[in-house]
Amino acid sequence: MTVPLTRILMVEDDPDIRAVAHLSLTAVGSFTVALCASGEEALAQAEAFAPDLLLLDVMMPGMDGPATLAALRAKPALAGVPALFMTAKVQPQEVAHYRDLGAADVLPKPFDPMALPGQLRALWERLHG
Amino acid sequence: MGLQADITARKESERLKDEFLSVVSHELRTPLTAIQGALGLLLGGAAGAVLPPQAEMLRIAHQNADRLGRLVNDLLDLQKVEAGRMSFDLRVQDLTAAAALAFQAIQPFAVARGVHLRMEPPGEPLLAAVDGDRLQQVAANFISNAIRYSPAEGTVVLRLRGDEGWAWLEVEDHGPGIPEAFRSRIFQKFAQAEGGTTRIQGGTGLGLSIAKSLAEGMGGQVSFESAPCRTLFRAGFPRSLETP
Repeated sequence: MTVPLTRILMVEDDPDIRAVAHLSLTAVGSFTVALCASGEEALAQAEAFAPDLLLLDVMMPGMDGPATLAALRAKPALAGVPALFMTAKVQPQEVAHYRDLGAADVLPKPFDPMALPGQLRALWERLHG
Repeated sequence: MGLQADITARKESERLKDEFLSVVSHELRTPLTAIQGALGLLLGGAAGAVLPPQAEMLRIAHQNADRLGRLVNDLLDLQKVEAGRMSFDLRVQDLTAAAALAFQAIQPFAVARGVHLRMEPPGEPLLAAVDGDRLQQVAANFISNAIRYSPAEGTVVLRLRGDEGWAWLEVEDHGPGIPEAFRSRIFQKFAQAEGGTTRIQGGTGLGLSIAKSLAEGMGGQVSFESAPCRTLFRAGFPRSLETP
């Protein structure tokens, strides 16, 4: 039986999208969520939070999504945590590139906040099924 | 020396175009993501119960945010095609599978408009070298256009057929037909037939133009036939005998 998905760490620089995602993940999805406004903030919080899943924006000032993922993956406690990129850049070659960087999947923006928790649980089942 | 300077200038110009597309895409989609998301959560009741008159206003706002989102996507697609920046992953495949995905995806829009959709698959594999995602986009643009111009309870038919050299994807509706004076502009950007009851809200006026550009980018062609109460758009691709 699959361990349920409960803890999600999300990195998103836009405060409004963070607020939308937070309500989606908590009120609709009933997840425990850590929200980070930057890659640097994620690096500071991630180990203590111990997420089941990482949800990363791609285009961010400073450390972008791929750089944040690489830095998180360099920490032994987070090396095996599955990651998803959320981006509007979802041409097939772009998706393939993000997968090459280690993303389990790519969620297109704009996302449907009512459907997002279900999409994450389906992915979790697929990864652990 | 002059030639090298020309090449350098052209590369710089292409880099700037790519950067422009990337920045515009991000800067337009980020606020739209927040707007659509916030409205979706309110409508879905995630932030508490909503009274019916409030829900109606939220539905209008959500629907128009979606419409703006489609316009942004269409504009960016068109810009990519025109800048030669649209990449096509051409693989020999059965067109029916990609067309069926577009058919399924657009069903909710047909239901909302009270239009019936019917798919007529070919009786044989219909192989061509296309980009499956882009073919879906061509089919979806043709179908959504046909739905917009169909009367309530009308039927839109998605038909796939082959002849000796070509694989054809056809979409037929029984709307008012395309006015004679408008036919030469049908595939132009922001083209929408106007007049009387034929102008239906909701389209961006870019769908057919994008479908044409995408089909041609995959080595195909588009055309149409129109008469009162019948319009048919088709995209054709050189048929392949090679198995996928």
